[in-house]
Amino acid sequence: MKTMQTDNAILQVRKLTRSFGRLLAVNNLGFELKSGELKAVIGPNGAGKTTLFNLITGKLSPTSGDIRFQGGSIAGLAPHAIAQRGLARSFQLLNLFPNLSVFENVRVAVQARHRLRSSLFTAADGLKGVQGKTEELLERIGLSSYADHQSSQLSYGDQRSLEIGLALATEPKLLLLDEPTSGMSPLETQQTTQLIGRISKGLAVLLIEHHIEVVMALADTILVMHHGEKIAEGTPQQVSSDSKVQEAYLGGL
Amino acid sequence: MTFLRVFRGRQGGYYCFLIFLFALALLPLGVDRLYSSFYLRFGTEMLIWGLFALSVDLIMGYTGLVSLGPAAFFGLGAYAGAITLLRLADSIWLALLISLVLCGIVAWVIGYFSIRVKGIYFAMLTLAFAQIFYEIAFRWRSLTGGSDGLIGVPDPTIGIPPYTLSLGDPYVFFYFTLAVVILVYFLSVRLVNSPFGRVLQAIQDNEERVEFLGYPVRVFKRRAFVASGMIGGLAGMLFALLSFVDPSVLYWFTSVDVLVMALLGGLGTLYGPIIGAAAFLFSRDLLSSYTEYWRLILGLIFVWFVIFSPQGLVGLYRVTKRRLLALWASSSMPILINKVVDDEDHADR
Ligand SMILES: Nc1ncnc2c1ncn2[C@@H]1O[C@H](COP(=O)(O)OP(=O)(O)OP(=O)(O)O)[C@@H](O)[C@H]1O
Ligand SMILES: [Mg+2]
Repeated sequence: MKTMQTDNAILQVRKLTRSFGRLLAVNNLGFELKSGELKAVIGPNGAGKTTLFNLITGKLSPTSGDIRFQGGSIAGLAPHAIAQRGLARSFQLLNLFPNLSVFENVRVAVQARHRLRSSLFTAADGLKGVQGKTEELLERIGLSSYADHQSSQLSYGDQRSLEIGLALATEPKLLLLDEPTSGMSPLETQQTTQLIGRISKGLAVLLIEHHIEVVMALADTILVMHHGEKIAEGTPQQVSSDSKVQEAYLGGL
Repeated sequence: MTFLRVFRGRQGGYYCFLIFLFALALLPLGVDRLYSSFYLRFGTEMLIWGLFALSVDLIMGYTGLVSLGPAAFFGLGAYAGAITLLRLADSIWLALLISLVLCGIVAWVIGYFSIRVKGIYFAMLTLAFAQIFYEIAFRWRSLTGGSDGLIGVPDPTIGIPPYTLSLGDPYVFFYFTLAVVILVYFLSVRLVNSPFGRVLQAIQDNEERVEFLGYPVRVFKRRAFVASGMIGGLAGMLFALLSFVDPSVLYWFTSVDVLVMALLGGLGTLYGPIIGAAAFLFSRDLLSSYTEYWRLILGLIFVWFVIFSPQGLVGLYRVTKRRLLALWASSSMPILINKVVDDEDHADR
């Protein structure tokens, strides 16, 4: 891995801080993500990983610091405005449309990128390109045969795939995945690892993950958080030999 | 087979609705032969309240916004229409235009403030806004006639002179209303199946995720609220031509009635609330000829529906039909019917 280059960074996080009362959930955090890079964010429970995602995607606004996406600041913007710029996330807990069909779940997400996405009197099912892209995406996440099922009737593992699918359907430039394998069986974890490997080609990805074998299989770089702070960052080799990381994990996980 | 297909799944209720509309369209033929002309007026009233209940379905059944102030738009539409006819010009089109534009603007403003908050707070704000309009109708006597209401609203005509028809003629007004309701119904069907309408349904299911997909949820909700307010205003405008406009059109009873109609019929279907309005008015008419406690009895019926058939009459119809088909399937022609029941399960999803 080369050293960090500012010019082709798609995401730049600078001195980012978010406090909840006296708790500093994210504390003076800084890092960069290059386009095409997959960076795993790891750390013990409560380290502030999800809070970091919430700050980047607009669910929370920073107490201080800046977040720049493709050169422009996105700190404190509304979630929909950030998503429109090409940033999509999946959630740690399932966050789907439980009463809609699997197909419609993905279709609405694909539609978000369409010019006529808020048109009043055209037929949604006739939107040019949307139907095709939806089918293609269902194929990619392996849910084609469940297209007509209500999403809440899918198995947990399949719902997690759909969770990733919804984020992917908006054709993001940066994808944030929050523990995509949480609660999965070893087999499902393996399948999801392969899925992420396939979809992340050429895409910038931030991945929160507790399974160390998943991280090792996928990550170009790793960011380690502890008590809201960055305690290490670098290639998997660099990070795994870092003494502070070993300490944090022995002490906190 | 075709006979069975007609009564399948979602389509089943829909076809019943078309039959209902068709039967209603024939209503004028029986006047003076089978029943008095009162029932023509009654049918018109059902259609108007059905239109109003449909407007409620758009926000409650498709967007998940529970407003307690739909009367604001019904009343505003009624007053705007009647005052236009009384003071400005004897033109139905001008009255319609002013009602629709005014209701659209007011819905936007109410929506702008109310949609910032959710759930019960949204409901209370919409109720408060409706009460403000009720107060205004009471106090602004020079414009609204206060508690006396508006007297002497002229009957407008439609058509190009000399070929004109007066909307004061109950037959003409009935068909005029029927045409408006059918038009708005089909526009609404288009709306809920448009890209916009699909986003509304996604918002109802999980608004946070919609926001994170890149849709400005508040803007979508507000537009739905405006569409609903305009349709409610249209219903009010028609009501002004049918009946008498006084502050009671803005009273919270009006909101409660229309909410009951929509729930009774079945939310999220567009046609359900129209049927619900008809059922509500029919029961009221029937019950009130026996007892002055008709509200009590209707209330109990409503409670029964909320507990045992939350999808209203449409849901009751679907469940009953499924049970009957299953019963029939177990006694005769098992293969054929099982297939129909299967298909229907898919259609309901
Ligand atoms: N909205 C909130 N309000 C108050 N405190 C919060 C909020 N969100 C997170 N926190 C706190 O901030 C800290 C970091 O939480 P966060 O969810 O970011 O951790 P995490 O690294 O994602 O942990 P996990 O691995 O368990 O998901 C925790 O102590 C949590 O209790
Ligand atoms: Mg987390």
